[in-house]
Amino acid sequence: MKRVLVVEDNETNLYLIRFILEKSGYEVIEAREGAVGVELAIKEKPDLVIMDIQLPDIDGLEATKRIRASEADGDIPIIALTSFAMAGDRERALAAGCTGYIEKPINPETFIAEIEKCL
Amino acid sequence: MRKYTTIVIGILVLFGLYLTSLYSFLLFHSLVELFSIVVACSIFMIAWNSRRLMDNNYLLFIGIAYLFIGGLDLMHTLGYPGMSVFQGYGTTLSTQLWIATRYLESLSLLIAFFFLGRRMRPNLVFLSYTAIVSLVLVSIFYWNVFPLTFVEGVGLTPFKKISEYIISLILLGSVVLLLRNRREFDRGVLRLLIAAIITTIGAELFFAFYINAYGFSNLVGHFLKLISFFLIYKAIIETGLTKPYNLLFRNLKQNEEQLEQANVRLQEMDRLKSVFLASTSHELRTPLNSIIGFTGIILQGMSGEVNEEQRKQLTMVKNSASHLLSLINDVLDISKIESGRVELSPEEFSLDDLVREVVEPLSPTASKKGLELMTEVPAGITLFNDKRRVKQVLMNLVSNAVKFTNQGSVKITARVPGEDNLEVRVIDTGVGIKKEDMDKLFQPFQQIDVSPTKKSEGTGLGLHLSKKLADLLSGDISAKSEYGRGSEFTFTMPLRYEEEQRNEASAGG
Repeated sequence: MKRVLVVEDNETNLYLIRFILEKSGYEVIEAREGAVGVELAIKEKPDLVIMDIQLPDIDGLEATKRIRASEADGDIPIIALTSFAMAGDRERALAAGCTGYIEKPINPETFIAEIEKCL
Repeated sequence: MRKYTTIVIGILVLFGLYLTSLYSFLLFHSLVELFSIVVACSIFMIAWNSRRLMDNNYLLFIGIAYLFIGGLDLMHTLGYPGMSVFQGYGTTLSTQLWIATRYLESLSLLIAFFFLGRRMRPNLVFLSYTAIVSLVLVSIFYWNVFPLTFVEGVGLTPFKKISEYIISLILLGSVVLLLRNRREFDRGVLRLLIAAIITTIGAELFFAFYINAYGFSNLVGHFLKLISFFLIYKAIIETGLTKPYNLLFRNLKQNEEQLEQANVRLQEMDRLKSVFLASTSHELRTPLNSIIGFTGIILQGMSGEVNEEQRKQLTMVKNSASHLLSLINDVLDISKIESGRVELSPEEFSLDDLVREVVEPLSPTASKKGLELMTEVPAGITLFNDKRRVKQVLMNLVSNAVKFTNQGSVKITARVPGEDNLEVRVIDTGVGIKKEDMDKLFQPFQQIDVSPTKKSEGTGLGLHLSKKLADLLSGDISAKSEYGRGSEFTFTMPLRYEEEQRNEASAGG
């Protein structure tokens, strides 16, 4: 079973993403803060990371950079959760080292397909 | 340079006056006093005639006072020994008048502060001065009760000498008050006024020592008086006429500065408003995203079976939430454009790809309505611009065309008419737009009624936003239509976006 680390501070969104992933047969690890996300990404070595951009402590971009800078990185696919209206989010996410991005609102019909592209 | 010229001319004038005094002291005295009388009257004229506009009652008070000071100085001049205008009064007359005038002048300079920033009735002040000066004149000329100031063969009386010291002290007091209230005065005016008063004090001290009306200290005293009135002339008359805003309407100038500060604050608040709007709409989007996401999950059947009625209602929830989300996004976009906070990120991209990305998501709707969705785009056109924004504009135009066309076709054509420009047309065979509605087309929240029964869905911001975006991309959107036959929207933009082009475009428009 593939393991996905979801770094997201909003409980509702976290639940939504976990629900979709578990229904589709993934195991989910959660982090509600950027720093915890970085720690878990290195320690647990998940198959994929879903990273929200706006986080309470360090933002998703910084967290991604830290994961990429660590030795244990091993090119984990990191998918940024971006917002359509925030121009520049996507460019910044890719520049920080994200593999791809998914725009909010999450569309359950395409969400899994997007993830599978990166796995 | 001009300063030195003034000083040189001043010294020459003083020297000339000195020579005059050697020839005739009476002539010298008359010239000096006449100068101060003219200055005093001019101060009155300026102050009195601008009294309704002036916002500084200190100056108005002084202005009125100086008319009477000038008047008494005239009497003093006419009563000077040797003038033989007033017979039988002796040397004491002119010194009595002198002392009275100096008391009036110094006390006026002191009392004037009382009216700084207070209401004052000019007519009342004028009447009071008339009464006081009349009393002084009567006491000197008629009642003979004014203390003697000069006794033939003895010289100045103690009253005269002590008075000069008292007057000097009063003047010193007015200097202190001037310094204390320096914020109410223009710096240049303040300096000149202080210099004038200090020179007057110097003059008073010389007059305390003199032995006879034609002596040396009398000469120096009159020189100092001349200089002091010249300084007052510089302070009030020259400044009042050449830089009225430094003197007469100083408050007006200060108000202007306050207005400027208020303007700066307003701009800051406008910026804060935009920041507030941006963060608010982020906060609004977060729960909406959840609503759309969960509705999607349930509609997908991921949480269990959904019956037909539930599906229908949930679809409505999802559509309404999506509609709300696009409204928020549009409002945010517009506010960003209006506050000039949109950063474009231009990149190279192929028009082919872009048109495909626009058409693909719309083709299911088009085919459902039985519409033909055609593209006539020459291959190999490369653009350098903000792809996302260009796509947003084109998407809006094409989806409008699909929305408002019930039969026939929607066609997208592109060509490069000049060397640097791209022209994209979106042509439909839809309902069209009435002539009278063409003006409202690009206005916000002006959805044009297509039919009386069915109001079309959409935010009502699409074309307004597209027009603003096109402008931002150095392009433009225009429309023509024939009601009932179809519409044609033309989107033009440069092949390569350059910052300067945009500035020119916005300067021109």
